[in-house]
Amino acid sequence: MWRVRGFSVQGYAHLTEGIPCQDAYRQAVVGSSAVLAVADGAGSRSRSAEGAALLVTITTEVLTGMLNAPGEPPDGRLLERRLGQAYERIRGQFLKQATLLAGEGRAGDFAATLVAAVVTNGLLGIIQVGDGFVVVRAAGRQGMTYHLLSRPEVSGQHSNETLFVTSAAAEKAETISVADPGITGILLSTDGLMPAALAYEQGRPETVNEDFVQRVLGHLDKDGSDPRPILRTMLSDGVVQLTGDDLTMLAAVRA
Amino acid sequence: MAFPGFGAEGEDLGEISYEAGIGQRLPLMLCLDTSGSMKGAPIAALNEALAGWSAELRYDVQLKTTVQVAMVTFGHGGVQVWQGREPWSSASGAAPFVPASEFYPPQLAAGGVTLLTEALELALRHVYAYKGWLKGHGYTYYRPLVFLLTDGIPTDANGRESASWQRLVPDLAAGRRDNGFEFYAIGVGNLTPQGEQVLSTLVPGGFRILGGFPFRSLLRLLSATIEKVVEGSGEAPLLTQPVADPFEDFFRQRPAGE
Repeated sequence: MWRVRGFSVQGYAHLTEGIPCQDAYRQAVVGSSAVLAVADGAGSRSRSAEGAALLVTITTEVLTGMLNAPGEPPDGRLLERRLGQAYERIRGQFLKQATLLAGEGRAGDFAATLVAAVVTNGLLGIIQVGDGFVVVRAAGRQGMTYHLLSRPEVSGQHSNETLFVTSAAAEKAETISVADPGITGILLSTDGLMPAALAYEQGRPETVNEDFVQRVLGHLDKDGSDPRPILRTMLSDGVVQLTGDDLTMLAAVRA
Repeated sequence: MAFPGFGAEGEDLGEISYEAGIGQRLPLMLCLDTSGSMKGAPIAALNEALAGWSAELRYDVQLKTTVQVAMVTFGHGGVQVWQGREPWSSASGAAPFVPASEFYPPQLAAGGVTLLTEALELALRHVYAYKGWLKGHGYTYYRPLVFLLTDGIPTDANGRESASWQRLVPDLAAGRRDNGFEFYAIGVGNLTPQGEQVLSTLVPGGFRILGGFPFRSLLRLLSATIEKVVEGSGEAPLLTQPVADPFEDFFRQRPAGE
């Protein structure tokens, strides 16, 4: 069983301006499996908060349906293929509904990035579009180790340029699968927490800031733990000085 | 600060180590006219406004580390680059940009001629050099903001009206088109129609003429622009519409002549 908790707060810049959080998250626990999704609405788009909410809703529905579908449990390659197909359905439904809501040719108003994960039968599968990221904690002979599974790709000259599900170049998503029954914790996040949760080399996020991730997942390991310390940390001076972006993470630990 | 819903007081996850210097930076270049026509009340108002604005930035928990400020003045003392309150020297080996947390403006004096062209060229060189330095060191950054403030017509070193500013037009257009920087020009005081013509040619659609010397509200609105940049995000093209002008509110709130 997985214990899943989501945390989402306005970035400091949004707090000071009174702008709502444009991120969204959603999760579903299906027996011993779990589906997780986080989305980051584009700050420059008029309805991106709606876009992020719509995207995580469609994503969890499609991926839950995939998990519930009859058939043999997949291996890693099959899981990746299924995730690729699931993403095409997710994007198709998302563009259709966004167009219905915003009008013909206006789906871009709902622009959002997406990171989604399914964890099932000792397999972790990931779908990624844009600059979110996934970190896992794994139990091994040398204790707990932390790994950055999906390295956020930041395109363009400036660091605030990325790919959205509505972008023409996002017809296909990056999919990853990892077979590791030793995974004891998963953290999905939008890009806002990147400077806090990841460690950098030459300005690029390359590994995990274990101090941060260890404390977040360690806190959730405690059954019935108070979620507020995590929210306070997300709005602490240390994090605010790194980023003013909206902050959203979805964390799952083995219960 | 109170955090509605989960309380200002209480435990967090403890002292977490974060990597220093990896926060995204916003280079801000102020290119300010300090020529003779600014003598008296205008330069005093500018100094007072700069002092207040920089203090507000220093107290902003996020902007104080995000915004990196440099200044080029043209007028008193010719064209002068400032690193905080000190004149900048290339011998220092460092860029003139300083974090807003360490930015204390100099006490500016007015005098001399309006070498706007040379000042803006120098300002853009520093912006490009700083971007190169940031990129080379792997730091992430927002599109730099270049902010020109003038009350006169560009002149040569002898104070004669000069058309040299026209050579800036292609560079400014290319810089804005290629996302090299965002550029805004504000005319203040008693700017003549020729002065207005200069600004409208330098930055079509990105200039405004304000009556008087409302520096305090101008700089406050510059802060609002900075916040808009920091809270916004760019994106890959297609299925998109143009990114909103972060100065939109500025121009809406301070129409010409107000």
